[in-house]
Amino acid sequence: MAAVQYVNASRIFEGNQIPAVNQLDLDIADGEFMVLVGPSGSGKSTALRMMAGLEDVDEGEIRIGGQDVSQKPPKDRDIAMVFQNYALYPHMTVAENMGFALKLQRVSKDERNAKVRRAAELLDLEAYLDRKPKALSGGQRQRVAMGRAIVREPSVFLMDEPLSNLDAKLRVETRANIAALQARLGTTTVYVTHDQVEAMTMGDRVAVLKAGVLQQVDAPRNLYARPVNAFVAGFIGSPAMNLRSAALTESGARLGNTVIPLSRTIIDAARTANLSSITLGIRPEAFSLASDEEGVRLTVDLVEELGADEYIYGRLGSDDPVAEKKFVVRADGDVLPRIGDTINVAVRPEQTHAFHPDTGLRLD
Amino acid sequence: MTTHSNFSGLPRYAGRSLLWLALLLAMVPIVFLVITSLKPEGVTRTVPPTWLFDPTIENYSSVLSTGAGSSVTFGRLLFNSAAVSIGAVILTIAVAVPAAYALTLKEFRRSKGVSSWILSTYMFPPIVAVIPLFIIAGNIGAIDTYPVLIIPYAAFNLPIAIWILRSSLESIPIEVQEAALVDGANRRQIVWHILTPLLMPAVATAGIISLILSWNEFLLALSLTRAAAKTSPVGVQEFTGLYGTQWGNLTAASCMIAAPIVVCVLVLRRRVVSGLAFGAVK
Repeated sequence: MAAVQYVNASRIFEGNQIPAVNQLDLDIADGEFMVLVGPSGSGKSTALRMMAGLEDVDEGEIRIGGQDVSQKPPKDRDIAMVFQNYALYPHMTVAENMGFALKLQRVSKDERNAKVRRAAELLDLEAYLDRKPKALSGGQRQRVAMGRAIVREPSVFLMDEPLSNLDAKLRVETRANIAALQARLGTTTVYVTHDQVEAMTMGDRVAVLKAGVLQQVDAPRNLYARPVNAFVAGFIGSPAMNLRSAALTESGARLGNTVIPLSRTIIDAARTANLSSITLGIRPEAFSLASDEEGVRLTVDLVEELGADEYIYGRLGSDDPVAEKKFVVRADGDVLPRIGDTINVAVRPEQTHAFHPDTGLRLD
Repeated sequence: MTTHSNFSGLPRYAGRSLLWLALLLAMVPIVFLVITSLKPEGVTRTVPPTWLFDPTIENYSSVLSTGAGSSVTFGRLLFNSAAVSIGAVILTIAVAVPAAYALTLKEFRRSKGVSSWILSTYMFPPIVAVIPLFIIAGNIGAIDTYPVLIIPYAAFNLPIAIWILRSSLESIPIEVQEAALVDGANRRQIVWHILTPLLMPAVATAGIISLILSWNEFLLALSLTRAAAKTSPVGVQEFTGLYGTQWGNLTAASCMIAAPIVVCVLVLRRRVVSGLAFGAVK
């Protein structure tokens, strides 16, 4: 068990001007489940590999348990890692795979077997201990990779998209299992994913990265409720938040035929910054179907029914149907509009977000 | 077209028939060789060929005990061939494995030229090396010894062996090595516990190719040996003498040269062809 810190840590790949990880500053508490999330190229995997010792730390420090490990080889860091493609040793049985690290530590055979067996019980792998990886299903291989990490009893678990090779159903199941396992073992965990649903459901806190730069670290709830900039706003939440440039008025922002009311703080901030328009953010679930007189008027382009929810994709009357991004609206009505219909949707004013049109920073 | 045939537009049986025809054509000389080696003296060169005869192994026993033209028996030549070939294989593998590993390391990967250059040395015609080798071997008094063949054989086999091992190493996902690093292994332990076992099929392939090349080599053996280290391919041509050819002995000797390689390939075929079915990733 250990707390983990990135202290202004950077990684600059040879021949590149822009660092893959840029001045990353991140404190991860002992026992915390921290998720690093971002689109591809955001540097999340590189950050994880820096922690593992598989990438150099070009600037700054990485500390595990308060100790600077930046220059130490992976074996001296007391970490265990689960790889995206599992990276099992193909010529070893499941038991040998899981016990390999202990064997290198010269742990006695009896103790090794006992530890492997305990981990196998935890992961429901007892029946497969004598099999080779090629005789296992994808889900089983994933569990062996987890088992290999658990057996070590390291201070930190590092996981690099461990679920991305599983099918959708198994992924959801394994997601819950990993979260439960981590809670039970209480081992500090750094988990990398590009999937914001995974990030939201698993992390105690989530760090959002973009182009090597940390955007925001917070509990999932707060990331969702108060994203610090337009990027985080658009990245967290599914379907993504509707982000639109909107002209400022006395009391709000103009969207099509209506004015969306904005809080005093937002309007004051916009005035101070001398803005005539803002980037307005409205989540699909902040809309509700309204009567003909109120709300924003949309022409329906597409309706997606998911059973529990329905998503309506529509455009403002004045929008160019091709050029403009469509609005996504979550509806729960029994009577759904059809393609080509015109609907009115109201916005819950307390659920609107406003961002600076140039910097993308949150205004309130 | 079926899934079993890659001859587009051809029905499966046509493709199969072509294969059988090719196989048959390739087998004719071999079958003829074996049959001739079993013929008693006197009927080996009749025209048309004699098909009905009492098979005998007298050619084999006479070749093994006497040989032809040389002071040693053909059995001794086969032993020399085996010693030289196995020596060459061991030396080749011992040098090729570390060389291939070095080529896959980050520091070397950047200079792609190195591996291409190594392969290009394979195009080097051995005949060019014969005279210099002969002079050097003469100067150090190594003519007609095993090392004088083993070392050049290994040198000529190395490029292809390195190439095979390198591509096999590169097909092992780098994450497997990284996983071992995180598991606490150092470079030596990674090579020993992870790469070596995974490399065995490629080692078998490289070993067999190197074995066949060394076993069949004629030119250097002819030039650099006299009697003590003479190999069997050189011995075979001695059955063709000034006063005619001993066909029975020659074919028997040829069969004995071919047999070990055939057996070796049959035994190791599955290892060589299939490689290790991977379960490392996904």
